[in-house]
Amino acid sequence: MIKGRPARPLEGENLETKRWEDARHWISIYADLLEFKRGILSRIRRDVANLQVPAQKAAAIDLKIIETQMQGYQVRMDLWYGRVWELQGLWVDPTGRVVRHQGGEVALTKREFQLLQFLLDHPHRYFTTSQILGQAWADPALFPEEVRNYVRRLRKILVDLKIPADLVNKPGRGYSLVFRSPIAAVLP
Amino acid sequence: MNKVKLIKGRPDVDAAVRGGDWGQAMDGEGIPGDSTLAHALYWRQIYTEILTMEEKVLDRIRQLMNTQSAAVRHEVELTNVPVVVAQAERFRQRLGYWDARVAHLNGNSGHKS
Repeated sequence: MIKGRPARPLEGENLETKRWEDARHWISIYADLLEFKRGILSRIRRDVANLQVPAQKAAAIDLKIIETQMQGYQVRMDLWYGRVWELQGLWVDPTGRVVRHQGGEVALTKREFQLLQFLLDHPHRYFTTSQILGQAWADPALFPEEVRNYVRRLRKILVDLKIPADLVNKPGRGYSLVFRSPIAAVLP
Repeated sequence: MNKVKLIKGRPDVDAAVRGGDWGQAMDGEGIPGDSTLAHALYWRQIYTEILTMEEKVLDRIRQLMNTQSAAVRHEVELTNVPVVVAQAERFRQRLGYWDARVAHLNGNSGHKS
């Protein structure tokens, strides 16, 4: 659902930037592009449903192209989110499963690290318990209670390291890592 | 009819635009010159429907573009617009074949039926 190849960078886009304003600009551009394509996709899907079968097959090309473009934009937006974290001074070391933020450091268990990495890669998106089991841990056989347990642990780590984000839960939508100000200021 | 230009440095879009090849028929379409009137009417209807849809999609894209930033408009101009235009051209051309076939079978080859 989330994985895919990043789209080609847009004109003037440079992930190496040191400026927060650039990150804010490009996250906003990709958010707009995704919203735009969602609107077109929804329009085409609605219209295609009224076509006869051969025409539906031909129109499927349009749907596939837009879906692939959207995956590419999503990956680029996630790269920019990662850049925002770097600019914020958050470093995640997968080798040692260590997370550092502004002088603080915590070593994580394998599952804590996988969950944190997953949520950092896709901030401001909600994931159900089963999505977390399948996508963050690739182990759908685990009990849903495990997710709640690890969410509790990660919340404590966020507090201990003073990472300006909250792991929030909304009924029916799941869990999401949400930036707090000033990081929230870069979001569209 | 305007041919859609390929875009330098965007092989993804170029491939999609090439998908708008006019010679490319749909599954089961067959050759217009060999078809019965019923078959020709059926495919004329199919192409009329899908061309109408593509034209509506293009209108919608252009309408939504008006509210976007310059960067978004530029990207959509490079990616969505040429693909939809190429598809619409393809369908318009195929519709033309079937229009002509229907006219011919109706003994009215001089104009569209």
